[in-house]
Amino acid sequence: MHLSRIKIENFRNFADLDVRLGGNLVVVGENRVGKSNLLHALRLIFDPSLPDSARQLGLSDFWDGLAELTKEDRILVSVEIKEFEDDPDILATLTDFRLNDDPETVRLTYELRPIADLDGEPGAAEDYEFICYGGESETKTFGHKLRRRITMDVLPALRDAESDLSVWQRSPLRPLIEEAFKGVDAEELEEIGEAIEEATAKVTQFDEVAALEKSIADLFQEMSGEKQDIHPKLGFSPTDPARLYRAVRLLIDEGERGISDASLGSANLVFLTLKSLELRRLIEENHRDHTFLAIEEPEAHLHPHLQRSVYRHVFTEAQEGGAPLSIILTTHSPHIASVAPLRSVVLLKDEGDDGTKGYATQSISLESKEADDIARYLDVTRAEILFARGVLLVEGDAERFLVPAFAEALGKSLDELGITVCSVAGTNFRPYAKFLVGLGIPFAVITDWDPREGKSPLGWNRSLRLVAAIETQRTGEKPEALIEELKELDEDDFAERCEEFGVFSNLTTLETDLFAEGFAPAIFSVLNEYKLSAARKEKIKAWEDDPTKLDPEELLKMIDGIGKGRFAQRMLSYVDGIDPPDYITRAIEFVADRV
Amino acid sequence: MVIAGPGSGKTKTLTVKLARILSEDVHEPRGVACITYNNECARELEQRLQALGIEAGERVFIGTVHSFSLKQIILPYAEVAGMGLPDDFQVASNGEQRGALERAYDRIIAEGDDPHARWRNQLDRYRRRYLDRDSPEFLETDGVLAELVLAYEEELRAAGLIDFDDMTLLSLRALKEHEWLREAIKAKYPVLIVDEYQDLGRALHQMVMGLCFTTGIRLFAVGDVDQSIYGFTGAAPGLLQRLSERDDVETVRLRLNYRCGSEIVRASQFALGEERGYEAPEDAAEGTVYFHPLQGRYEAQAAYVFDTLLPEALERHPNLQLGDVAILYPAAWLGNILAEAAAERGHATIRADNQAIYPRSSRLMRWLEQSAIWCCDGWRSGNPRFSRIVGEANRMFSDALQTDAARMEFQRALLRLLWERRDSTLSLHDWLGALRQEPLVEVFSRSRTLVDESEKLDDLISKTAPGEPHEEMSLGQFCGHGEGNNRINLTTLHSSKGREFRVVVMFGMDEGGIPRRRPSEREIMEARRLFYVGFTRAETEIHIVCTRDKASRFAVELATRLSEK
Repeated sequence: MHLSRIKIENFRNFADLDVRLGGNLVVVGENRVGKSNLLHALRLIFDPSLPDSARQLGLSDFWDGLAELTKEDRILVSVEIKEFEDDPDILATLTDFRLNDDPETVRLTYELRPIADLDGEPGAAEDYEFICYGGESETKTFGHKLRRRITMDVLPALRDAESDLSVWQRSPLRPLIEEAFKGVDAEELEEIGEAIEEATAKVTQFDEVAALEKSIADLFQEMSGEKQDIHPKLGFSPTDPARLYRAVRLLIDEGERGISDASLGSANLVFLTLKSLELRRLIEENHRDHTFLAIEEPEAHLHPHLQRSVYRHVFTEAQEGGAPLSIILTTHSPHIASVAPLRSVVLLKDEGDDGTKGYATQSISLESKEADDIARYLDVTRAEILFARGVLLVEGDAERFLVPAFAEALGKSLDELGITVCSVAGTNFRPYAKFLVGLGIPFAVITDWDPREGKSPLGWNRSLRLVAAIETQRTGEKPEALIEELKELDEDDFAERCEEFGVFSNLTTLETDLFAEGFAPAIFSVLNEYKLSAARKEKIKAWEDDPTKLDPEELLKMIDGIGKGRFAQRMLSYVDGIDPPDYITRAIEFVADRV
Repeated sequence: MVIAGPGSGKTKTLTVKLARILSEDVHEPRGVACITYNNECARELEQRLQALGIEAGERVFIGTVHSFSLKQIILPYAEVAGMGLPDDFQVASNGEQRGALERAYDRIIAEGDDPHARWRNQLDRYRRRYLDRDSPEFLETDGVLAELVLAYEEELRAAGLIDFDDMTLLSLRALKEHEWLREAIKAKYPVLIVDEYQDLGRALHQMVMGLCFTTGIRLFAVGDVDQSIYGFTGAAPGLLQRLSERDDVETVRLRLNYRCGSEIVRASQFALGEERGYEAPEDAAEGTVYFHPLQGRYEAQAAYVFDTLLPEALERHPNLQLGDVAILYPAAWLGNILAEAAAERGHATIRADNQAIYPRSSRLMRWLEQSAIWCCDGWRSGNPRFSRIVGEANRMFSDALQTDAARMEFQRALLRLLWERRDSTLSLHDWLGALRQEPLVEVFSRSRTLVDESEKLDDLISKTAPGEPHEEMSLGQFCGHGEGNNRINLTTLHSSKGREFRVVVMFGMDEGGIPRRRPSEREIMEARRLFYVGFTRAETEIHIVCTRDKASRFAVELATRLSEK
């Protein structure tokens, strides 16, 4: 089974959140946008450890944007679940909750509403009651029984894993040890008990130790009196076979040291390992059928490389067909987001008067090849675009180096604005554009016009298809009229119209355009830094004397020889005081205005 | 499939099997569904399971095929399975069914006769016989009836109503159409138990075939072709036969009859006309078969039963109580004669036929009996426990008591009402009236499925009203009705099914009564089974009372074969 949708109305940050999911859920977003509240909303439905008194929400749990609460206002949290028919236990638990028009989907809803016979408008927490029901009828209530079978476990942020591990009752090791020792023969345990007793006796044979033990015992007896004496002794562990297993500890470094000597990060990881084992055991022993394991900010104290390897493993396990586990994470960590399954990401954004909205990658219509591209891109770039407020999509490294400098020249710091420049290494902008539209992240595309002899420019076709893809993703249908309109325009009007959709192009290619737009001296300066053949040096000299003699193809060949990225990086030393090319200025402003 | 002859411990077998399946094979959250012939059987099973510590509830469904259809299929899935019912559909009351039939009759036949007398039974039988409304068998076997059925169902639907037969028909159709629905039922109930298979009609049989043999639910069926006596309602004993002959069905026959004396067991096979190899356990008492060929009218014969037969029996068995005696008869009008004769002699009787003061099979009535017992003494002894009464009410009224708040409110109102009426001398009429007035009126008004039950309660209230025959009935007597052991049981042969008595008198065993006049071959066979069912109710004495010269062929054959030895 997997979660296919979450809807939240009027709860804390959320006026009306509606996101589609593909199973696991990785929530990213800025601080205070409501990531934890999203988890809490899910707990209202699934968490069996949440008491009903906590399910009875208060007035302060309503969305702040509600000026005054009326009888009509209620808090609603609902989830939809698909693929619940493979496990008969899950099917038996969920089957009654199907949607009226879709038997393949079940819905579970938590609702906080004014009590039925309320006089006047609600004004206090007691005026509300909550119900949990399935399907589309309030009469199909569900409760603890369902939560016991389909359960949510939350590992909160910044928990003290080390102290949890050291307290027997709280330790995730406890159930595992208890289970493991169930099968151990009592007589053999007794033998171990005797061995410990022996070892203990040896220790206390040391005079110093014996003296310490005696002074503890004597002082205690003096203080407590004989009746209350508890006969304290020194030892390695209690020797009663029934209690022996409680003394078993998890050790690190091949058994040399205890867990308290581990780093915070390792302790956290140990905690997660034990918890995962415990979940497996619960499922195998038919205590539960499905677990939503929610981990808040799992990056805490973990080295980036460890973050990636641990969570890559966690996601792989949860994604195996029919796995009885779904992972829910809230994270600020690009390292974790970058290994999350592409379809699991939900980006939360504060949209002011509309509350926090969610943008889910699941809603983006990507072909599988496109999805693979983006997944790989996110992996390699550490998912930086997920954390950007705005994005400038560019063709290659040259733009990646130059665009921030151009922005600087315009008096805008891309870092401060939260705008990231992303190179798509080529001209296949469409998957990225769709992805960004789907996530609601403002972006502009900076691309070359690439004119061709006797044919329409490459940039024309590219821009047309890009605009069509952007609008299709945005509106959900193909913009036929717009495409017809664009096709009728001449090249200049066409380019101008495309800019309204965030697609900005030059006249030819970046470097030759720069040459024409006053960057010729900078270009020559960079070229002259390199040892070029005499013939080439001569050509450069000719262009310097008369820029109209420029052979763009030859120039590009030279730049390619140096490497476009390297070339652009060097050029930055010479561009102070020169105005950036217009189309790049407009693209930067386009995004800056929207973040 | 267990073929369970009379007295073979069928219900016990079934209860233990069910308990065992629940503890060993089927684990939470999945469960077991058990379909019984009527509510009486369902309650009996529930009580026996309670004794084993198993409460009917979410994991265990026990109920009739109608209740299974309604609660497990129609109510949860009416919308999603596209059954074409309005959101607020209701179960039709008797009056509403009559109205629908009248309107349908006016559209299709309109010959000015009484549609109920002439068509109702035919209509019901036809609906149960041909389930698929598009099949040529349905459309062509009797074109007029087919049209009438369609019109009747249209009329119900137009009024947002379904009747009892609709419940099984709609469910069956939904199961056929939707694989997901079959899988869902299988997920919830991987084992299906069917009691009295021979008496359940084609709709259930098709449901079983689909759920068990196509979808893979495990079936545990109990039945006895020899005790099939509901052919007139559409039951087809051949279905059980066919099922037991399948290669993938294992059939077990219980051979011992723990109920009847050994002589009665032997004779019962003559009564049936078949040698089944049934035996009484070795240490069983012998039991005796008596024949009483009498002369004169049934009034005179009834007098003989009370003045001669009964006193002799009481003399033979000093500790025999009147409650251990049952007089069985083929038709309710004979019951009237017997009841009158008994009343003239000051004997109390309890009737279990359609002349009964209220129908034993009604779930609501059973619940009222339990509530009454609680008021009389149960509150002190804790038997029945109040929580059981409330639990049963929650199940029975589940569609009206949907929230915790509603259930609490009902429980409070019920407790207050019963608490204030802990007095066995109260007039039953007043007690019922108060109950009807307060906690029940709400429940009935909100329930969509209890119309027929509320009609039964209203009927009982009016029968106990001032000026009516049962005006004097007290709460204590009502309780006794459920329990006590000093009333002679009067019951039709049909209603005697599943029960047992130390002494059984089969009254009116004459041609024309059993079998009826000019019987068809099938009717003769069913009448013989009915005779057999009545015969095997007896533990120690069975008395066949018949009219000399017109004694039933079954009685004659039995007497002949017994005397041959």
